[in-house]
Amino acid sequence: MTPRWVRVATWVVPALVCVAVFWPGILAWFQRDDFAWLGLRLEVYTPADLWKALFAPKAQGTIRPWSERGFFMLYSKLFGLEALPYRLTVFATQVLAIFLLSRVSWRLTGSRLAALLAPLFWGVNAALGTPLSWTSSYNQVMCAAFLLGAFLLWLEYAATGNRRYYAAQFAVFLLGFGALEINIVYPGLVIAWCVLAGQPRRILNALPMAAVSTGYFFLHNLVAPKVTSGPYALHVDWRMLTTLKTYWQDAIGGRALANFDMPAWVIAFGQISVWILTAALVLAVASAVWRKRWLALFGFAWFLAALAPVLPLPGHISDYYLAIPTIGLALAGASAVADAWTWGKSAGAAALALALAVYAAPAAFVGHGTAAYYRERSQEAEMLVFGVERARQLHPKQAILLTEVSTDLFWSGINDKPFRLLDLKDVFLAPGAEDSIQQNLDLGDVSAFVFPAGQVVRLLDEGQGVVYSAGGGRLRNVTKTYQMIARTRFKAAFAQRIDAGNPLFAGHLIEGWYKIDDRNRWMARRSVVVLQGPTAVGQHLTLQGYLPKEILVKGPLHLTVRVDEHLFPPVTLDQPDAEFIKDFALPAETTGKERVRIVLELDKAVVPPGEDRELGLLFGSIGIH
Amino acid sequence: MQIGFRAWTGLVLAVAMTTAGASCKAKRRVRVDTVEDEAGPLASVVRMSEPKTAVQLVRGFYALEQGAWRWTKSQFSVTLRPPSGVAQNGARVEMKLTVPEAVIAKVPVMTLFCTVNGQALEPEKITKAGDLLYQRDVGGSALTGEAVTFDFHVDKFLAAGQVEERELALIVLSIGLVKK
Repeated sequence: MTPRWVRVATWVVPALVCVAVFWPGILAWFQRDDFAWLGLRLEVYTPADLWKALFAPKAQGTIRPWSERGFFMLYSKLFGLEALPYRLTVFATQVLAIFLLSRVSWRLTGSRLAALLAPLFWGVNAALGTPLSWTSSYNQVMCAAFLLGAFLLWLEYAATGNRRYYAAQFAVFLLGFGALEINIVYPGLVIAWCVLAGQPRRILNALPMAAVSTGYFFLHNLVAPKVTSGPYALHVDWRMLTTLKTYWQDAIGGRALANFDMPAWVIAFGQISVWILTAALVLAVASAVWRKRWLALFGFAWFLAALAPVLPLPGHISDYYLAIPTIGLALAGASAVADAWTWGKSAGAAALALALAVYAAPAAFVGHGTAAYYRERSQEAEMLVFGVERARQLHPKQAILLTEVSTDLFWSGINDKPFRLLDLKDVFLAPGAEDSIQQNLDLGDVSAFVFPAGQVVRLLDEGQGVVYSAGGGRLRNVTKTYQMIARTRFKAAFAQRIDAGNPLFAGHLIEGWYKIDDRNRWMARRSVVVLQGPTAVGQHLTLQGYLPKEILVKGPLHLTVRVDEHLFPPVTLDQPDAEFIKDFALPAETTGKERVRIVLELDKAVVPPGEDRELGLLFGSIGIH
Repeated sequence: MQIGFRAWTGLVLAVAMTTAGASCKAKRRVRVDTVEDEAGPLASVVRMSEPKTAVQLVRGFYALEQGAWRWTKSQFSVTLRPPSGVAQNGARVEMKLTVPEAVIAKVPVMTLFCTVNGQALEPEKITKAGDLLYQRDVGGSALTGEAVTFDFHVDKFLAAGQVEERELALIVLSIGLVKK
């Protein structure tokens, strides 16, 4: 009987090592998509909204109620923007996954050494750098825990025949779909085990799970938008092999050492490590086949199965997609080292030394560096968001313009609109600030955040705005300096895009507009707005607003738009209680005009009960882009 | 079953305690003060190492590196305050820069142009790597007002994606306007 402390050490030691490697992730704040998820709660007003917020498919058809939506909604309700509870929960889940992996490894190999090494190898893998430091990728950690939990219960069922374990693993498997779509591969893992463990009759028990996964696959395809271009386009062709090769190299090697400021020999060692480890694993496979220890191959099956769903995405190779597949490689590596001990002490010691020196050390270094990078980015975002909050306290009625915003800071701390979480309105990039930010149209449009250049001198001269530099940690008020520069750089001009409900742009609304109504503005049956004309041929006029059902009591509305002399065919608005967005391709003759006059006219308008105004549409924004 | 009841209980308690320990809703709020000591007039000389004047780098400069210098794009602009009296006598614009080996290796010859208030200064042909002091006299007629913007551009440079994701041209340490 193994002493209890040894059994405990097989998961406590890897857990402590994992925490020691990725500790910057505990102290990370929020960034990027986190802000979108944190804002989800703000869109919930009714039980129906809650249902939609939790379960309606989002971008790429994802439905992750436990790991993303429910997690962020619950924690943002409980803890607001205090990141530590989120981060501790992620690490607690990781510790749980390490515990489960240790048990799975022991169940598969019967070796306490393998039970120690599998979670140790996985717990230092660089692929965990992102999931353990960016809260939006918690789904990887949670799904790993679900898969390992279900699989451990399956092994218990297989060992004991107790149907309760079967039912429990089925339940855990079903719940895993709420964490991440990769959960779909679970039946494949079970079937692979049945084959390699020499228990083909058990495959019948896996068929109900396979049916669920098949059903999920078709359901997901039904609700997910079809993507034919861009990084999320699926390519089931020879490129999958190239993608597999890339993931293999990233999973086992220290190639990423090249991303750090390291001596040349260390970087070269990182490149070579891929080949050394590949050779070692090939030897391990050969040994397993020679000795007919088929179950030793299970780890490779896990790696391939968990990676299969992302192999058709050659344009979207992400390090954190390896977080779950590398569990398989950790199982294979642990099994190989344990197997080497059966050849003799020196063979075992050599295998262990190789694994620690060539794999674990570089992986831990890269993983720590990744976590530190995310922590630093998130803390820059934290300084910015709370700095803007402080600036708002000092300047409650002025627009806040930000300059000297780096590319990293924009994409991690502004693009996903964190300021709305603190109810901070009228925060813009100062004109010219966009120049130092690298555009990334897959993530968003920088120009949409920029205050109109032609309006900035007026804004500052009238004392309606302040400018802060985000270039040096704490925000620095540079209003007067920026104002002097702006006077030499930006000629007065109409804006190209306005928020109708923002008083800063009221001068653009010529006639037919009512007073501001909660950051929006009603138009009458006919209204006029002026904007700066398109700066390039092919630009569009976009109207965005909301259509309450009360406005449709007389039937669908028909909106006619005239831009200078150009009259567009009427468009129909008939979706009640929904946002509307209408696009109009602008004629070439409007290009370059300092001012275009836009006339919006409805075929009818209504006076709702309790109102004395004839209401048309509720805007929204009006812009040329 | 091998998974002990106590182990499970311990894990559940650990999760509960870590979460509860950090609860008590957000009493801790990062205190972020802003710097409100608004700058005086614009600087006549902008050193990349000086954060207070960075706002005068109005276009085409990347983030500060090693606390001393910045990469530029192919087009970059800086706004400077003309020193007193230069509207009559003119002044000299001076830019300390480094031409990196990596650029010259791909672009053996490049020309640096500068315009200020519509007045084009004599171009500088760059053919070798190393430190360079760019100096040009500027007529007083171009130096009126409290701020003057100098627009630089080079005809050849490293396009985005050629060496790295960014478009790269020169490394600048300082740009200034001094009396002749």
